[in-house]
Amino acid sequence: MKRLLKLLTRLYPSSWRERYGEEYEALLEDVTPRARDLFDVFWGAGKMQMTTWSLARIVLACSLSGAFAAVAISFAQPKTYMSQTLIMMDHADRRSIDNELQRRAEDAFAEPFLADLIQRENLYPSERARMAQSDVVNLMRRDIWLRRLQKSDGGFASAFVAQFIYPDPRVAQRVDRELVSELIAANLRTAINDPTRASRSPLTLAVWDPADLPQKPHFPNRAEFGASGLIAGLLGGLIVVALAGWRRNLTVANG
Amino acid sequence: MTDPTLLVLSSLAGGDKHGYAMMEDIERFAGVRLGPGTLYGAITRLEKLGWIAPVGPMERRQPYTITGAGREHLEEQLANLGRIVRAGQRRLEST
Repeated sequence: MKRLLKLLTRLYPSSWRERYGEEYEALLEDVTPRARDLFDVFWGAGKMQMTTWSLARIVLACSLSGAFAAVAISFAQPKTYMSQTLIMMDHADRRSIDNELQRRAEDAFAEPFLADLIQRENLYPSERARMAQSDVVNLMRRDIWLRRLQKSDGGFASAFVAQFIYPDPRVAQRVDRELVSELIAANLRTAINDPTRASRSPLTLAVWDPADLPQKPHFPNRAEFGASGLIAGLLGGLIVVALAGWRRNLTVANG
Repeated sequence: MTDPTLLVLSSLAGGDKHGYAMMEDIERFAGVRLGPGTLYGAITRLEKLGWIAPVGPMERRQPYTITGAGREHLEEQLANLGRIVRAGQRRLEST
């Protein structure tokens, strides 16, 4: 461990090593090393580097460290995949189209259907082992998205995508397909069972692009992770610089 | 009290010492073991502030001494701490 400690002294700034290097090594030879001394020497070198760096360099180093750390964390995150189906829709009253779609989705994605789908596809096995069925169904609802598409002018298009997010891309595709089938079936059931409501507000749904097999993970998005880490590191760097300036002023004032 | 600079100044107030002797002394009188990085961080800061200085010819186990300004700073800090300790004890006794 002494050899490792000595190796870590190379992380100190060269000007510092010129002045204190020999006596520091002599100290490291004398001490009985402990595991936490490794961190202590590493941390000491980092702090010493900071004192010799310009403020801009500190902020830059913190930003890059934040970005690297965030990307490293992203590799430890479980991947999820999003399968999506493009559906065209039409409705006599375009203003209420969102409400109609919402109603059909509520009819289609009721608890009995989702609970059955969870069983058939063996979804969320670890959650099912420790959670009630209704909680697992609610968990699944969080992975289902119906998203209206927007036109380039910002208005809504007469189309939406039905998305399902899951750790296995093939399962995501199969389940998305089942969800869309059930949504269309629910729309037909409304037309058959409630003709007055259906004739008053008929909703036409047509699949334009069936559920795809996702090739890339939907999460984690490494670019987003990296950007978030960069911003967090930047803010952290600014705080470090502010604290260092405040501490320096305090020391001078006390001195 | 675990402020490394005060611990180093207190140690040197008892006589000149090199790094390892300071570590052992501080562990004895304060029950705190300063890591090598923390100790030399404090030594670097204190020397820059002019509160300690190397003594004798430069050698591998370099001894340091407390300067007049360092002694003054230590006295001031210990007086402050003393006031806090006395106030705390008075309040504990009165409750």
